[in-house]
Amino acid sequence: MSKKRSFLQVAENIASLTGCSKATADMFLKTAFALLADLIQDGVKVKIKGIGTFVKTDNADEPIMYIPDKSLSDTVNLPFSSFEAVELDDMVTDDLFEAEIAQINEGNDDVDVGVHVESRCSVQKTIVDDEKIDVVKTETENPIFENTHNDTAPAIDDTTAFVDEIIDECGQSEAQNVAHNDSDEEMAVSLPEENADYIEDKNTHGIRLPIFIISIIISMAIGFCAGYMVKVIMENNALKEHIVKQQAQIDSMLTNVAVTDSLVAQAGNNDTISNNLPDTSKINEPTIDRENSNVKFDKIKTNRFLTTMAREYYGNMNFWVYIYEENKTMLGHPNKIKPGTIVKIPPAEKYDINANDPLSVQKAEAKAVEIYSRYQN
Amino acid sequence: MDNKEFIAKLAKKMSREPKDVSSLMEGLAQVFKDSLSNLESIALPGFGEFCASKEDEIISVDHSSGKRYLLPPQISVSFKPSSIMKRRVTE
Repeated sequence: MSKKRSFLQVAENIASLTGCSKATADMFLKTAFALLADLIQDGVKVKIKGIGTFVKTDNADEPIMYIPDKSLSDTVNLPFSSFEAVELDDMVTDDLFEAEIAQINEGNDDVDVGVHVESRCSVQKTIVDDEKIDVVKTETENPIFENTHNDTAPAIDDTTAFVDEIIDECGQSEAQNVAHNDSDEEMAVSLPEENADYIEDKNTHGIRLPIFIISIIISMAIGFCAGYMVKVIMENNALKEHIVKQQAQIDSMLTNVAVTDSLVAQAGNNDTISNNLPDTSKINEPTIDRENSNVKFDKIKTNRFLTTMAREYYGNMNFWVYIYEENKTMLGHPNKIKPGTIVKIPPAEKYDINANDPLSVQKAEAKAVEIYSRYQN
Repeated sequence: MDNKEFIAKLAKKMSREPKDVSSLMEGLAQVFKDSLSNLESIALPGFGEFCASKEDEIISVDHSSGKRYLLPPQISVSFKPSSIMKRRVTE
């Protein structure tokens, strides 16, 4: 319930402000508002400085139109004078304000709260309480302000109870006024619904952007992982192909075993051929005779080196240099030949290889020094 | 009728000097300002009640531009005539 200042309190305030007596202030109040009531009843538009303008209307529901004086409105709204209308961005929603207003209402029951979606009307229209007519009829046959020419103050005590009763009746209508604004309430309901889609679109738009960015980042990460896996798979395939080629090479060598055996059988008692032929018990993969019957191939193993082959083919291990020279394009350092490497065994005549000739051996040793010297730089 | 005319007529009725009545009117206006600023209504029997109500900040939409504005709160002053007054005016 809002506070009310009674007639007597107003008179006391006027007396204290102006320095006059309470009786004078009382009489002034009664006379002033009685005159104002007469003028309004006669249809005169009255403007009172500091209070407002009163106009009689033909509207039965609003017989008196009241426009508050500008100075009064400004003084009353002085606490809010520094505030101005602010344009809102999309992040601010109506729900925030409704919640805040609800909190304010819980803390202050005396304040009338109105939520207007349309612009406020500066003209204050009066509200009529029809129910008070029957109540007042029995009480007020002689209005208080009839004796306006009497300077003496009437008996205040006699009228106090009557005044309070009328004030209470007036106060009852105040609670009903809030419910009278049906049209405003309907508009307040309809407009938020109209804006709901607009607000919802704005909210969803604000959420979509981060989701879109995150989805892009995830897809890029998946792309990088997929590309790396493809690269690994391709490398594995290349390695497999190399292994397959090597295996094919070995298989081709193995398929010629039957040819070699047949040659051995045909050679029979030929010592040259039998001496030149390697010991099949030592070689798991026999040499292959190609177009030139003197061209042989052998395979480096962990227990089979160039020196081993030289001793076997040429009778002296120092003649490894000529095997190296024959295959130097694919061999690196003579001490770092990988096992599995297939080397070509040149014929002895090509390099004048003779194990029984010391000069040939010395020449081979000198060749070895020369070969090692290539890798000293 | 403006304020001057009203004061003159009131002074004549009260048989007082217009400047005295003017000071009383100023006092009355000040009481109105003090009371309504504190959201206190003023009840005048036989005439009506002057009420002050606070309207909270609201969000208003400009449908032409689609922009939303936060309007600050304000206190509105209204007048409710008494039943006596209403009867006098409508008769």
